[in-house]
Amino acid sequence: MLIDEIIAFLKGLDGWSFLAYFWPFFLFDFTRYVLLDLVIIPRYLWRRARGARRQQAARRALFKERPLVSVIAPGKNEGKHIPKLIQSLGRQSYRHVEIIIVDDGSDDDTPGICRRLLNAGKIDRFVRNEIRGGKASAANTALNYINGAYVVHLDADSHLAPDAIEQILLPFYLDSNVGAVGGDIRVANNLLSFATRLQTIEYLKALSTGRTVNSELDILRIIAGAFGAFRTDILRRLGGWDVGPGLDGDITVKIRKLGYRVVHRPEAACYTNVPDTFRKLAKQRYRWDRSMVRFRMRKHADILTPNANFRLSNFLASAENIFYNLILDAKWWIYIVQLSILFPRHLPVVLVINYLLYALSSAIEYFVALMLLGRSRRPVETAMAWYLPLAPLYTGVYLRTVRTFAYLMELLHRASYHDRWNPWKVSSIAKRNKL
Amino acid sequence: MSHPAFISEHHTAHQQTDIDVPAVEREHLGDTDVAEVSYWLVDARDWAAGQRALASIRQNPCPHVYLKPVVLITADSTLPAKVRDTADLHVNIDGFRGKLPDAAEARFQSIRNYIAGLPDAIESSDKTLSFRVLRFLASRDNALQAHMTADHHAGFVYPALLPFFTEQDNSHLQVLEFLESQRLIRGEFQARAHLCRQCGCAFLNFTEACPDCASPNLHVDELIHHFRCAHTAPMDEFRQQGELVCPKCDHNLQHIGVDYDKPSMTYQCNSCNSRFQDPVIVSTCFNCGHSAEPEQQTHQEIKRYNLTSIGRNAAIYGLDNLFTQLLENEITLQPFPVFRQFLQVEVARIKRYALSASSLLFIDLEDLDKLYLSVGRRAGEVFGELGALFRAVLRDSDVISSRSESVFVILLTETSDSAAQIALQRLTQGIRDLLTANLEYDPKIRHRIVGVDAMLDLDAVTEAFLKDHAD
Repeated sequence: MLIDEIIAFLKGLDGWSFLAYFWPFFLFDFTRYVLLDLVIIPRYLWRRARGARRQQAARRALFKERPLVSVIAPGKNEGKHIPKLIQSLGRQSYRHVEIIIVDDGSDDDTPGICRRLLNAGKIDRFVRNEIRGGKASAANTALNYINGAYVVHLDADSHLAPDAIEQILLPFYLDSNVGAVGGDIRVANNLLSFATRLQTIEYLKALSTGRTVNSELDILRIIAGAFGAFRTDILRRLGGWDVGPGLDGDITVKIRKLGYRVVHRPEAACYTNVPDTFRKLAKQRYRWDRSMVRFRMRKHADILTPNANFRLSNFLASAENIFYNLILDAKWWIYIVQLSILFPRHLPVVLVINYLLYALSSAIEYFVALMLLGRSRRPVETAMAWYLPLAPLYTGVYLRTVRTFAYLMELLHRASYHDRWNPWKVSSIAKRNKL
Repeated sequence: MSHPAFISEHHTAHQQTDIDVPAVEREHLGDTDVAEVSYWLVDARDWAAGQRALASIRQNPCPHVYLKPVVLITADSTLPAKVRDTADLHVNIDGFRGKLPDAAEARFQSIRNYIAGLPDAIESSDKTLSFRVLRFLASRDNALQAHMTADHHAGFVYPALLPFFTEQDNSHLQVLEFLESQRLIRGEFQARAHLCRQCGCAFLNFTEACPDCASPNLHVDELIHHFRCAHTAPMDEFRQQGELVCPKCDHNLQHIGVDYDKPSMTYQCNSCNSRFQDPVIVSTCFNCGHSAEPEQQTHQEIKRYNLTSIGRNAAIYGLDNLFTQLLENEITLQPFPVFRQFLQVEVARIKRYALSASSLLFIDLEDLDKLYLSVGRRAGEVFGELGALFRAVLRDSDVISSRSESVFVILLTETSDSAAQIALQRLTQGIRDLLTANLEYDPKIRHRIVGVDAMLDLDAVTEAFLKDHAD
């Protein structure tokens, strides 16, 4: 029996040989993800509970000052999602907002839908660019029409929890050095398919918990485009977003380079529709993962070298990302080779034990995330626990394969410059200028 | 022997021309033997005087005067449309020797034939304006077209009708509306216009204005998207000493389509600094100064009009002899929208209590037009009898409306299908007896009975009935 075999194998191991067999898990993944979660998240919750008065004071300051907040949602062919987004904006506890929708050359009925919303007074500005310019240009178009002191960038296929705007603004009132705040992106279409169920678990672990941990360590490197808040003066200073894909990570780094803090706010919940098939998901991740190489290793490589603007936290934010995602991506393939050569007889048992270890760590991360979400978690998110045994297969095999392929394609072929996500004219200029 | 007659303000005017046509002074139209006049030749060398002469012709109550063709004789080859289209024809005085083009002569002959066919042309004095207009339209037998004009408050006129009226206001439009409401003429879409909601004036100044402060003081600029850095801003921000330089990355912009494009236009209000892409459009009336968004103004459909067959007959025998008019004296003929409301109430009532049944009865008296023509002046008497028959068969609780001069729809309340059949039988038998016995005229009567229930769609059922008729 396999179980007996596993028990017998484990009994025969001392501490060092255990480490020799399972070093990737214990040296890297367990320490980085499970241990840090178990230390940082309770610390965060404890500090949040202790700092309730500060939070209240920040909230009072926000509502006293009542700054105008410009909510921008740029996109192409997103008209069908806009009414739900607007509905969720209409239910916000913080209401002093102006809503600006930018249509980046849609060729469906988006203009008609948005003009109807404009005429009904549901949105404040509708801006249409007849020629598609890409996400960055659409977001930058919006900057011409905003009047607010803060900009909240939303993806049109998202909607917000009723206090999300209020929550995402509070960090600006808790620390005047905060330049941008990331919202907590959660899955809206949880039950649509098997793929969306597994992404629900992944988002809870990687986005809710992962970004809170990074934020606490001051190494947060991305404010999601789906829901992020920025100080308008900083955005203007930067001239807005640069050419994507990966423009949300790029602008986060640029804000950090200016010396501002970027933080994650897990209480500011935003629900977004995620790809509902593994094929669509692979395309999305192929795009996201390439931007790690393009932006962190190429465009912002200066962060990693000593220079006049060197900051340790910026270095760590980028280095951690490159180390854990790119370099350690190779570790698995090395590990498999190591096992095949050194312990071929135990390979199946070791792989099964690894699977169990990663499933266990997934479960711990998942429950830590549920603890972090607290009252804002929904029953559907709790119900995803049944899918935890499959999590290692999803992250360890499926996502890792896509990621490895994306890194190789970007390192060898600069594939991101051929992505249809940007208009070809923009991509060709970006490639020519090595942007 | 008929001949044209030259009309001018003064006798001497005629002597200054080489035209060999008997002259009549405007003031003495009535003294002429009008039946002998083939058309009126109006001296319009002075436009205003010509218009006055034309008005005195059209405002004369005698059909032989006001229906006769009018030819304007002018000294100017470029006559304004507003003058030219008031008459049937215009000719230049140079070289005109009293001979009209063949096409015009044929057209005029058909008008003269029409006048001659009127039963009362000589002794009649058509006092009501609407009747005169109806007869005029029938005699011309052309679609009456609206003309755009800057001279009239409403922005469009029907020039041929203007001489009928002493005041150049909306009267001729009101007469056309009345004739259409009586189904004597049928209007169809020709154009659409925005009129001032307050005073009906067509002259509106459309300006772009700031959606925030309504100021028309706007600056318009093109938005530039620089591909290299995705900076997107108004062109003004890129202008530096005659060149386009990106304010974000300091690169020169060289070629549109290669390193930048212009995705949209942008407006900035010079009063409140607000920036927007879609200015509001404000329309201000030149006449009364009232300002509103165009959607808030009156949207007027401008129609071209054709005579209906009912109108054609009424033009011959008079408005008093219309069947619906006479039926109105006997029973209350509800307008169709009111009828629809009655029906809705009945449908709701039946649905609510589910105790009783009601029926809809459609009746089409086909060939009513022929009956008009065959009985002529006596149509009034015959239709009076028919009206009395409707009143005798129908109950006070029944509701009747007409879809045209010959198609009637009747709501028979608390009447089952079989009871409706009995009512229909009595009505059709009564009509047949009346017309066959007295006039030896066998009427064609189409009918349909429809049960009233929650699923009933009045418009669809009516359209289906009318369509069957058309087929």
